[in-house]
Amino acid sequence: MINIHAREITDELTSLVSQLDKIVSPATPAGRAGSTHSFVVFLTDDPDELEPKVKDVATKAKLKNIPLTIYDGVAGHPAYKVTKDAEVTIMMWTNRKVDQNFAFGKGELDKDAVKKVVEAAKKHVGAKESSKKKAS
Amino acid sequence: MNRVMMPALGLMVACAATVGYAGDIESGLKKGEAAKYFEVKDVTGPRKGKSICYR
Repeated sequence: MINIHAREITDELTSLVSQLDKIVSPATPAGRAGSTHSFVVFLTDDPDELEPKVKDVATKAKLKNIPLTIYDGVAGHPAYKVTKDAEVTIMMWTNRKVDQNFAFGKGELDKDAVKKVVEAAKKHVGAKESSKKKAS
Repeated sequence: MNRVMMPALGLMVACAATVGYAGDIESGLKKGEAAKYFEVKDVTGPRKGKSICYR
């Protein structure tokens, strides 16, 4: 699983999601067995205002696999510990245990950061796929 | 001389370390922590318009 919590929509975020969409499987709801998938959570206090912008991101990034979602509350779900200064928080987990974490403050998710996250995501997806093959 | 230089050097190293990590922030679950159930509103996914947990 590759999860992104975001508070701002930027070109870099759109680029990141677009690139991740090409390496993950289609999303499945919790509780269903699935391969490595991803979803984005936009944190906001005004979901109605944000929703059309989120739809624009999906169109611009030509998303096929990654669902874009909204959490009502800019602070985010307390269990996920997304700090107030984080513009983008990325967590990768396997069997619901976090393997990797990336956090970026305002403006910090630049091209180099996107590249770094995509490389880590490729390894994460590759590692999970190879462990599945060993198990089968 | 060394008595003067060493604290100054230490201060410089401390400042450099602070600058080096100035862009790093901590946010989200750390390695080993569990991703718990939480619902979001699906906007563009297969369950668009509904509350769902994709975890």
